[in-house]
Formats: sequence, structure tokens, C-alpha cells
Amino acid sequence: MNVVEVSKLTKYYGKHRGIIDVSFNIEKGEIFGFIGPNGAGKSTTIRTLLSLIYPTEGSAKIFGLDIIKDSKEIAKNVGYLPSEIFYYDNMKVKELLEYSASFYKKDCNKRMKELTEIMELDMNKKIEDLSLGNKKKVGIVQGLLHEPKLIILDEPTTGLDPLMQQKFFSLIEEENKKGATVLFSSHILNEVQKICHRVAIIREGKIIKIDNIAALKGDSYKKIRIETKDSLNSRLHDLQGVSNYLEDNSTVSFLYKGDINFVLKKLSEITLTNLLIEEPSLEEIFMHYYEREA
Amino acid sequence: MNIYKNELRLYRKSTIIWTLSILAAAVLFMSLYPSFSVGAKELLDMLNSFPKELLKGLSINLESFTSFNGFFGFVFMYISLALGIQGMYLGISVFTRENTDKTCDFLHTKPVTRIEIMTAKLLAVLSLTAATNVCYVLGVLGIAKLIGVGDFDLKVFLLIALSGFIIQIIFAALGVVVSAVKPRLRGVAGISISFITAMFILGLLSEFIDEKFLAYFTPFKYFNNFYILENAAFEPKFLVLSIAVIVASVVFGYIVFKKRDIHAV
Repeated sequence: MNVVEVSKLTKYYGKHRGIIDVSFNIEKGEIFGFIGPNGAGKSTTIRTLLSLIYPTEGSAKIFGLDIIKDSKEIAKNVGYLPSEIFYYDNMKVKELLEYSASFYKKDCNKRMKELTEIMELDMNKKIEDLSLGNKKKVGIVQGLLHEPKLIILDEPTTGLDPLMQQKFFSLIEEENKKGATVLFSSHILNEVQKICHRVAIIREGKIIKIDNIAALKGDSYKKIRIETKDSLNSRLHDLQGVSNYLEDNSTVSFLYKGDINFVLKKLSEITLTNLLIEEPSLEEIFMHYYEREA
Repeated sequence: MNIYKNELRLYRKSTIIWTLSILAAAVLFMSLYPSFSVGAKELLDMLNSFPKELLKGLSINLESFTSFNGFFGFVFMYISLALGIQGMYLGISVFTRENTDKTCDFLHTKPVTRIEIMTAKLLAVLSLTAATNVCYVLGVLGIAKLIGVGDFDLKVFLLIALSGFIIQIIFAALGVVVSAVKPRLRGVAGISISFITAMFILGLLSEFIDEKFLAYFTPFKYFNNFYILENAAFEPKFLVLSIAVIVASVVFGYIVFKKRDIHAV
């Protein structure tokens, strides 16, 4: 079952491109990554799904409901954590969380208490006195206290220290195990790699690839680095399937996609002083997509 | 209901300050009435030599000036100025504040429709302004009792006071239009004061130069004290105009508010 179904979503801000023909589905129970650099259209997509902004064309459904017509019904089961947190300054943390809880027609007190304890949040502080990281924690509690079925995270880790990030990720994974679906937008590939099952890569408003993390990383690409005293000329550079080719004195590195035996045969023709073959990080693959499309 | 309560909480302090100021000014002015009515004859003689336009502009009606309601009508002009500023400030601020404080994302991702949000905010404005009006009117009635002004037509008094509330709501509604056109407006208090003062001066001007059509452009002239004092009623055409302005402004606000994109900060 699909929790999110996005179909040819397009948004223009006047003449400016927001997103063009964005389509993807998120299955129930999935942690779906959404990656791309700043300005690629991640936030535009998310804000459209939340009906903060309205699409120019196309449509989307969450829980099978229309994002524009049924936004209220959808919001009952959605938790949203924006990248930057702003709240009513003169409220205390407790007041803000209670105000937030008052929108959901269920008792959120128990979960609120649990979450504030996990996040080590002081309930009696005023919002305006909180540091950026602590504000973020309020945001996390606020986004999760009603036990949403869909959690939407827009670059959620900015401002959190590594320890809190760790706690945050385990919290999200816990919610996911309980059945929540997660849409996780980020430009930090490492964290996407750590937690997501599938990712969509977005660039200049268009989705350029949707795939499993495993498929993106493993099957197709190898990162190969060699050291040699031979002169290579462009023997390796011109090989079929080679990309991201970098030559630095005696060290050469590149990504290879294709038959591994073929590249090994080619390498055996060279006198190597060192050889390293590894899985590329998502980051390298990502750069690869960007460079190829550019 | 929770949004409504939150708005009341947010504007509690400023409303209390406004209310106390208006109340204090109204009570102070009205407490001058006894000493004023004693020397009334000399004053009337003097005022008689003033140009009619000036007197009219200042809401001074020689026939009724020395009566309690007549005097209140004169003081009321300045009360309505303050009410207008408060109304417009609230009308703009309840809608722009979420933008300038960047709390839109929080509110609009909650399970409420935009119509519900807007309605709650409008009701909050209505409640806050009504509270101000009730407080100062009770204050004036209290002082009237205290200083023993004798008999006066309560209906006329309340009509004059009610006209102030309607003027305030018109300006609040115009504030809604302003917030719809300029959702991220800052310096709302200053803008409200300037706009209302301009309207007020336009009202004076319409009397000084005796151009009746100018009255249509300033809500301060929709309710003429002289007319109310004479007829114990509002001028029908201006009452209709008031309601039309309020309804049109609010409907415009709803349409814009429902369709607007809420941009990232």
C-alpha cells in the first residue's frame, strides 16, 4: 500500500521553477530519502505535500486522500519537522507543546512526557531562551507527540549535536518499526545512507533517479584506486563504464560500472604498486549523477 | 477554539493597555462635564462667533453641546480615533504576525483548515475590541452616575458608543485587507496610526471645505453625531455602507487567505 503517491507535481513561483513533473510513491513502513542540493526542490515538494503551498499542476495523495481537498484529515496523522524552527517566543516549552497537542483529538500527554525525557528537554524554559539545538528538540517532540503515521522531516538534523542526532535517528527508526512511514529530506548523504531504504535524487526541480540504497551503492558501481609507475596515457580513462576519473601523479581513482572481469583484465596489463576496490559512498554516486546530468 | 484562545493570550497585554488608556481618557474628559456645564452660557456665546465649519469639524453642536450626550459626542470623536487605531492594528496584526514570527509552518501543518484559522482569528479580534468598548462605556456610565449628570437619553448615548464599535470593526476589516495584500508587513502599529490619522483628518477636511462626498471615504464620517442626537438613529445609507465595507473586506480576506502560498522562511 502506498502512503504517499505523488503524480506529476509541478510548481512554479511566478516564472521561477520550483519542481517539474515530480512523481514518486512511498510505501507503508518505508523510510524514504529525498536528496538533492539546496534549491533543487526538496522543500517545495514537501511544502506542497503539506498544502502550505499549492501545486501549479499535478496532484498528490497521502493515505489515499487528496492533499488539497483533504488537508485537514491528512494532517491528523502527519508529523512535520522543518529545518528551521520558529515558535511563539513568549510561550514556555510546556505551553507550546500543549498548544500543539490541543489540535489532535487524542491524549498526547504520555507520549509528550516520554519524548521530552528522551530529548532531555526543560519544559519550563521560555522558547525565546532556547538555543538552536534545544529549539530543534522542541520541534522533534512537537512533531511526534501525536504518534503520526507519516513523519515528514525536512533537513532535520541541523543544529543537533552528534549525540542528539544519534538519539534522533534511533527515535525515528523506533517510530518506523512501530509502523510509521518516513519521508526524510536531506543534503547530507551520510545520514540518508544510514537510515533510508529507498531514495529519490532530485536536481533542478526534477527527479533524476529513484532506487534502493543498496542498488544505488552496491550492484552497479565499484570505486577503484590504483597506484602505478607506468604511464597510463588514457588507457583507463577511455574505458567503457569509467567515470569520475581522477589522476594525481602515480595515483588514479575512478568509478566503474560494468563487468568486473573486464576491468580486472585491463588492470592486469598495468604494473601496479597498490590496488583498492571498494563500494563507493552514496556521496560519490550522487556526485556522479550530478556530473553526468550536467 | 484553541487558536482563538491563543490569540486572546497573545493580545491580552496590548488590549489591556489600550482599554485602560481609552477608559482613563474617557473618564477624565467626562468628569470635566459638571464644571463645563456651569459656565455653559458664556462658552456658547463665544463658540457662536466661531465659523460653523470648524465647530462641525470638531463635533460641536451648539444646540446639544451642553447636554451630556452632546458633550460625549464631542469627546467621542477622540475616543473613536483611538478605537480606530486599535481596530486596525488588531485586524492587520493577527494575520501578519504568524508570518513575521514565522509560526505559519507550525499552525498550518496542524489539522485545521485555513477557513477555521481565519474564523478563529476574526472572532478573537471581535472579542478583544468588544471588551475594550464594553469597559470604557461602563466607565463613562459609571462616572456619569458618580458626578450626577441628571437625565440623559441612554439610547442616544449607546447609539453613539455603538457607532464607535462599528467604526472600529470597519478599520479592523480594512486591516484584514491590508494583511491580505501585504502578508509580511512589519511596523503594524505605526502604519495603523498613520492610516487612521489620515482618515481622521480627511473627516475634518470634509467638514471644513463642506464637501459631502469626502465623507464616503472616511469611516469616521459614516456616523454623524448630530444626526444621532437629533434622530436617535443611524443614517441608513451609511449604516448599509459600513456593513458593505466590512463584509466585502472580510470576504476578500477569506479568499486570499485560503489560496495563498505559505513560503519558507
